[in-house]
Amino acid sequence: MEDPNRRLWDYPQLMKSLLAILAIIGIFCFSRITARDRNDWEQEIKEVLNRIKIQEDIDRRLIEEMQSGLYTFENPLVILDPYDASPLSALVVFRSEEPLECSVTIIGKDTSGDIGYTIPNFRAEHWIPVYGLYPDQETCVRLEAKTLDGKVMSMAQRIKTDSLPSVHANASMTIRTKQPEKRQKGLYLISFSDSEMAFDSNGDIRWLQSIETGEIALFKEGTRRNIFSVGSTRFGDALLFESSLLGRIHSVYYSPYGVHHDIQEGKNGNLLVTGSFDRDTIEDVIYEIDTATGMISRVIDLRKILPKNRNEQPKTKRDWLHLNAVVWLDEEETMLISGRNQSIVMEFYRDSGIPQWILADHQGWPIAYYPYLLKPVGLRFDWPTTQHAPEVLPDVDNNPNTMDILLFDNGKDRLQHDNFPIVREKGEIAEASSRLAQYRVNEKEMTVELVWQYGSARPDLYSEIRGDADRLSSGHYIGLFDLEGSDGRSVVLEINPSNGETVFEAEINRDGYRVECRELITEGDLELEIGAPVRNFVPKGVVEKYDSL
Amino acid sequence: MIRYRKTLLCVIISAIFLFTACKNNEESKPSAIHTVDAWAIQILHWEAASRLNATRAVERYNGTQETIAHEEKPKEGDVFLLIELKLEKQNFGNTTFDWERLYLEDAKGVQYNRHSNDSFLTIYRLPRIKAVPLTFGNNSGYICFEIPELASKRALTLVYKGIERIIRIPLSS
Repeated sequence: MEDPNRRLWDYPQLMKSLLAILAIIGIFCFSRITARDRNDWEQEIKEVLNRIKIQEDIDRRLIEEMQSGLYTFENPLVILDPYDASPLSALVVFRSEEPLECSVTIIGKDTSGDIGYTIPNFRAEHWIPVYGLYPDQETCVRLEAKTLDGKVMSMAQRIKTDSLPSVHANASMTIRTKQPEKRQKGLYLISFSDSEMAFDSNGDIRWLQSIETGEIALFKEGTRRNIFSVGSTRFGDALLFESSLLGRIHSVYYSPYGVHHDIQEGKNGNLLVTGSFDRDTIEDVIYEIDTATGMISRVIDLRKILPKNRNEQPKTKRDWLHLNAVVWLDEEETMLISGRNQSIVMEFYRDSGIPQWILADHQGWPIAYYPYLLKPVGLRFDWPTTQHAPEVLPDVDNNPNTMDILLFDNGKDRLQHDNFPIVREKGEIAEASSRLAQYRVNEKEMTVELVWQYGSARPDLYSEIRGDADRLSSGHYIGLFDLEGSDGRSVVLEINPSNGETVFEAEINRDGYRVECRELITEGDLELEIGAPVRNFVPKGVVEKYDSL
Repeated sequence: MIRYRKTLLCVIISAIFLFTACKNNEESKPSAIHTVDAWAIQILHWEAASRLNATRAVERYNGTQETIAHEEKPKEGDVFLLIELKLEKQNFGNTTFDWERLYLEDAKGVQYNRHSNDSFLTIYRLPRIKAVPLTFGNNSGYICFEIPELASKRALTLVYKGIERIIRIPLSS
């Protein structure tokens, strides 16, 4: 029986259907607009793999240009950013009839901004990288060439750079304190969440990489090479690649364990990396990449070494350790690690996993660990809490039984630690603070002493989640305080630890993580190996997977 | 009933509007390759856009994903004209590809230079050719012009005023 009230057009129903269709169309259209814009780590991996292919073609063209014989010292070919990765770098190409040794000086805004270096060895084919150009302007570059009999020629080039990519355009460093005669010479290389940049002591950007990379990069002063990472920060595909600051990639390594927070290079050239397994916990694995073979030669599972349930909190149940640093102690069969969510720094034997000592609050440890817990000594002592970036210092007290460790102590939970008598200076207790802290561990007596610190009296530098502390070759300490908790700012400062004097302090308007103060370039940045194949250790299956994305 | 009819009408108009807004510009065809001053120039693709939108997923320290929205708009009444170019150096030597020699010309003969700073293109995942004189290699990517919307609907020509000669490449659809 037909319902007499039924209408031919059920308008409310029709309206709902139309609106639903409209919504689907809208979502479809929106996804089309945004699909190609989506940024994720798979895209970053794909880009690096693609760069390797393009690099072959760039190298071939460069070699053809060189072989043309058209370019001379007086009339070279100057290419800005030939690998499309380093907008403030250039390559000067020419041939000479007799072998020459070339030197480069990038003329700064003042003498402290000058950058100079010599390309090693006399040669007739010249690939001269130019590092440290100023953004969006012409920079004067002076080239000097010395013949075998000591004759010197010189010429000047003006190289114009492009405006910086939009994501970097507003980055700036504001100098608060600078004592040029006291600070360590060099540039400040800083790792941000998605990129790396170098600022000079005037606060000018002098180098940046336009490839989006992970938040850590191996940049240490004295390092032989620059290592960057892209990919998953948890369990999943990650690539670690070695490249010059010009952006030419030399080696690529693959890991299925992600990269989270740290890469360290050993004296054997291998890399120690912090990562995760595919399981219910994260950021509790160390792996070693054999850089000769690209294979993962060692995996250390911290869950087998430390009690997972110590200080368990619902928020950090999965990320129970938050391994954020690993230090390769080459002289001994041990490693040093830092676990943020356990507020623990530990030295342990690489092969057996047995702790040598544990620097951490004594709360919550199973009895089996008691022998390894360091006993605090001295009148003034705070445990490090939620710390980052421990570094072993040279033997500063001439005592073979001690090891001095500099670290960035975020201090997130420091005010909650009331189980040990804490002596504080007047006024400190009121506000949370972060600090650079130097601890002295006596491995024989199993004691620990807080021998130096900076930052407790500066709550304005409180850095809840990240930060860095390093000893410079000058003996000064450099720190990065990431003020992300406020509005995305960082403070870099250099201190003379012997008198507490701040010789450099600057604010950056971005979230930073790691800082190094060093000469801009390493040996690897001068030997470009143009035409040499990339040492690509990425398995074929992984390459095919990203080719098909 | 009248109310529903009105709503239905609104929905249909909205749908038409949305279809129009979402519809990509007509697929352009690659141009022929033109050679001037040691450089081979080819337009691979072009499109007009009233705005550029992008979202980027940024992973924070604690593992959370934050989505950041970006939008770039030309001034009112204008559109962005995005041209994907392939610029390949054909001969050795120091003959540069100079952006000051390149302009877009509309049907009325009005000339437009490359956007003074189109570095924003990279945010929208559009590979961009750098805006300095080119001296080397194969340079593929986008450049941007900002032109009146009306001009974008008429014939447009990309012009390179070379040292040897002038080449004119019509933007064809």
